[in-house]
Amino acid sequence: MKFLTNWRTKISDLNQVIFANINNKDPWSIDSYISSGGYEAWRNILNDQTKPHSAESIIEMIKESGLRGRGGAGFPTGLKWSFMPKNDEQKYIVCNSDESEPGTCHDRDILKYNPHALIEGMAIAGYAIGATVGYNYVRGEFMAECYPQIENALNETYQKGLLGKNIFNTGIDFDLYNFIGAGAYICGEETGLLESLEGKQGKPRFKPPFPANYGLYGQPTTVNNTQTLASVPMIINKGPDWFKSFGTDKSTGTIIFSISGHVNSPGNYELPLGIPFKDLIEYSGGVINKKQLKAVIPGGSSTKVLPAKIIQNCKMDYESLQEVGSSLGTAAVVVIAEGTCMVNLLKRISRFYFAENCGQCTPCREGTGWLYRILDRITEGNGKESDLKLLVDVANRIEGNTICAFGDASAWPVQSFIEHYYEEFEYMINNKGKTKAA
Amino acid sequence: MSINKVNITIDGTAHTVDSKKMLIEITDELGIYIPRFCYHEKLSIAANCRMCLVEVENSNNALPACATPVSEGMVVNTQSTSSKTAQESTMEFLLINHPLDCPICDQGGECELQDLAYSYGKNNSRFDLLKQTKPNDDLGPLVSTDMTRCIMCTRCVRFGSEVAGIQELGTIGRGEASTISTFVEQTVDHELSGNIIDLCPVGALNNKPYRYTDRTWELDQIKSISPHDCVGSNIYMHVKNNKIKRVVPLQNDSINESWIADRDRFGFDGIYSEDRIEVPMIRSGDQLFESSMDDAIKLLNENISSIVGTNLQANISALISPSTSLVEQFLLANYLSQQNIRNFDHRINQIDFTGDPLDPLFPHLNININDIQNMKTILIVGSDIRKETPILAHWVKKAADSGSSIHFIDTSMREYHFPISDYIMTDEDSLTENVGLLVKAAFNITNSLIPIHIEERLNDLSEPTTTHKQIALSLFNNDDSLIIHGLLSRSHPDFALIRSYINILSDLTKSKMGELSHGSNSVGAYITGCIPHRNHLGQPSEQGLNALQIASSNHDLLILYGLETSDCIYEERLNQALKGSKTVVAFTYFQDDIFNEYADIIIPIKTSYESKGSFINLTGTYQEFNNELSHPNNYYSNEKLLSYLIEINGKKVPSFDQFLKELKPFIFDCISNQNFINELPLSITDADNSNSLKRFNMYNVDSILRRSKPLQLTKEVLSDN
Repeated sequence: MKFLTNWRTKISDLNQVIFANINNKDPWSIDSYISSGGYEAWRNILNDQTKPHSAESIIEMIKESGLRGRGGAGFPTGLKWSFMPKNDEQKYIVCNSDESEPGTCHDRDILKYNPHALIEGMAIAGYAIGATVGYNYVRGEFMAECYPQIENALNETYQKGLLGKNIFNTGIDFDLYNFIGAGAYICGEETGLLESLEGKQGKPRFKPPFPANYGLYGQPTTVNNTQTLASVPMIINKGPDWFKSFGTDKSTGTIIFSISGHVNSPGNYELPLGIPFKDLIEYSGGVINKKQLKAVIPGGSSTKVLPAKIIQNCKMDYESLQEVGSSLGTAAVVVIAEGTCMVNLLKRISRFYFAENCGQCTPCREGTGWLYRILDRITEGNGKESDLKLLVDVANRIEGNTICAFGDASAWPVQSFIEHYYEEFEYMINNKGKTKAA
Repeated sequence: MSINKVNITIDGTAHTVDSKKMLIEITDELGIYIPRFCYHEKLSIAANCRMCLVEVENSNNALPACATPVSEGMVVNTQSTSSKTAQESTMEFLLINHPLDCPICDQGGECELQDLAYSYGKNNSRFDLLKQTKPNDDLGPLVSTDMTRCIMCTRCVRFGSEVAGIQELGTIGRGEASTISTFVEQTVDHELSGNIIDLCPVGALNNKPYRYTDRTWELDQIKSISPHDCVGSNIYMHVKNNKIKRVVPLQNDSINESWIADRDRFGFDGIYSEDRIEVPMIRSGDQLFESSMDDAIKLLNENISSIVGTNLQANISALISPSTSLVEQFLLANYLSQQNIRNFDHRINQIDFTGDPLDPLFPHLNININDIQNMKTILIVGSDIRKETPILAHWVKKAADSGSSIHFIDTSMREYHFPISDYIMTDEDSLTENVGLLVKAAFNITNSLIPIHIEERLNDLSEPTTTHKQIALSLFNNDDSLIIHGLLSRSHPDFALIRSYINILSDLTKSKMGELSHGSNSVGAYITGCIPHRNHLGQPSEQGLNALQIASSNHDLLILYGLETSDCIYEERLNQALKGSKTVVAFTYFQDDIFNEYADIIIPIKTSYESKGSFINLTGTYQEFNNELSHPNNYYSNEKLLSYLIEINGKKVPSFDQFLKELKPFIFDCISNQNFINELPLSITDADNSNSLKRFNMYNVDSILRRSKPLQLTKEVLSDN
């Protein structure tokens, strides 16, 4: 927790919502969580299910707070919850803890350091949408690090009687299960996750039908990201207006920025949305070795790269980044310093999408390998003049034509890298693989 | 405006369409073509090939027509630049790793990828890297694999999980490395597995026996009916130079949908077996000598005439295969009855004939085949239905998948790939009792009066168990209930009693009752009078010997028409009868060892694959096949041969056309006024008959299948031997 203590003393804006209790002793233990006000929101619901604790008012409150999905798409959470049918069918709340987007590591810290915020958030969400069962799908690679922590937390919660059937004789049922994946990026796509959770190959489903109508085992299901759900208890406790006091009009609240790459202190920083990039990079100690900033991938490897001159004047929220042609994504900010070869970087990113696509639909299965191999031959000094046009064209042909957003994720880096760093690519092709960046 | 309709615009034209359908179903109905690979109307939607992407206004991306439900106000442009670009993009992706080995690919000429590449592909490829290759699996003797050609549409996978019920093929691996394969080197053994050949839009899965033999465009396509079971599956024979090269399904949604059983597809190979007989043979001393057809026919007629002349008709017997065509049955039955020869039967798989006096005019299913799926309760008695009639088992599975309750009473635990409500497993002897207990349970439920003699019989039985009561109640409670009486029971020593019980049970529970029958035309054999106790169209006749009696005695003259002794369930007895009879006449497709040893006159005939004719299937549907192929012997057709036999006997050839005119109303009456048998058979057969019966194997049921090389190499046969 070194990095957090450093900044806590420096900046008071840090850790207002999800990590508000992070500097308590053993914040992951249930006693520590309860002593800082944890499970109050859940207990209030258990005590009284009438307004303002009815399911409708909970959804209303989340809508009012402006909370948006932190998994990358930024879809309004309250609205998503309101899509669930109001009937007696078995419904499910599923937490997407399959955090795999390169650069992203905030869910990992939530699972490790504040697992009870997630558990409480899931219980509240389950209550709001009418789900009596929840599943927390945890990334396979978190097996040793996060899984014992969240599993332990779940046991504690059961021991306190806060979960289970007919909790405290209220008639409310909520059972929660942790589930460890097998380590596939595509299982972070919500329908791929549901397939995997059902024990099938993690291949995304086509939509419609959406999970709210046909989700886990064909039942209405809401899938939310870890950070989204972990934000819920505080919103219920302190009210939507308090949450809205952070962030901008449309991007409310705080978000955990996972800052990686060429910075002095990479790490997770929970800060209000809309923070200027210039301030954000200060938190991470600036670019390493006093180098100049070259570019930033602002929201995980699939979002479009932004050259320094654009990002430097940009605010870090959903709207501002969209305006400049990229997106906030998972708020995984990859900082790229001057001297980095953009061709090699893109090749590395493309290799990831080549290796991780599920293979069910044609454009990803065939196109990602094509993209990677062209980039590979460019870096090997065998690039052709026509390759740049071809790369962009292949990427364009993948984009928008696939079952899930994976296709877009594999196309956007190619399109944006070549758009902003055309000369670098051209130089390498013309100079038998020699990089211009050095 | 009905609530089930929406208004949409496709390519500038407004349409009012069914709101529950996907866009591609609507465009297909309207005759607007959208290219596709993974979509198949009989399979679930996968939306993975991305070939059917079309531009839908107000959507950011092109949408797959197969997975996009129509909605009010939708505007679709199937011919726009954005639709074309999306489709051409998919085609380019599909082709980059495809080997483009069309000149050596059997699918060439009927390949969906090849066809669409003409419209959506480019002349030159921009892909200048190494193409991928993929390993091939050995799927067994029926389906060949060239997985490098695979475009991962997963039709074959979905066929397995949805239609066959067992996923024999699956996708393995991820991304570019994903491939279609079996689970740890299994073969594909399901009785419908050959259908994946037709489903595969490319040349990845092909017909293994047909591999590298002919180009599809050189083949003629002839409609026909499969002769291997009572279902009457519609098929196309693909023929070149009068030789059948392969068989594919002909879609008929009321019988076999788009599917055929593997034996319907690969069975024909047997007709090209080495022991196919082409020249008539006449015995002289120990040896058979080639003869002319005229001489053979005349010799047969002389032999018969001399016996008939001395009024010893009772010493002449004839057995006919239940898989012969209607006109053959009609003419042979007439030839024999004209001479008052009554020892004539086709029921070579039946051993209990005590129910003959109670026999229905013909056994039938009572409902249309495609109505099986609508039955809420189905009870299957004494049937290995997947192997007896694979296509019927498919319809039963459809009913089961839609939530119907399926019950079995069987002598063996068999594998079914659908939910089963009750399965009563009995030994062979107790099968009868268990059906009786259902009757008893049904009487208790309905509180009907029981006729004394039936009550006495039922009182001898134990008390029905909860399972019996459950099944009876399920049949009784559901209006749409069906009892299927299988072939295993038809070959049972207590067949007649079981049948009476089933009839009474159906009557009590107001269920439909359907009987399966052996061969492809048992129904026809009943109607044309190929039975010892009736003439054609159910007219009464003097009683002759039944099949078992014929096989159990020696005759002055014994005729076998279209069958070998191995077709018969009491093969050993029949062999003895051949050995002990003075003159044995075989009208046959093949010359086997038994005929070599015992036959005195062998007359080659044509199989139904090569003939013009008709079968009546188990629902009473009369289906013609019009496929006269010239056989090397260039002799008469079977119809002409039998007509000639009648003529040289000095009799008039009866009019088959006239018979057909009477046939249709006869069938209609019988089926629409099903009379249940409400009597028990008078005597009980001696159980001795069940000894040394042949084991059932779905690829051994007729002489053609036994000679089909690919089928004889299947696990089904090999594991049986």
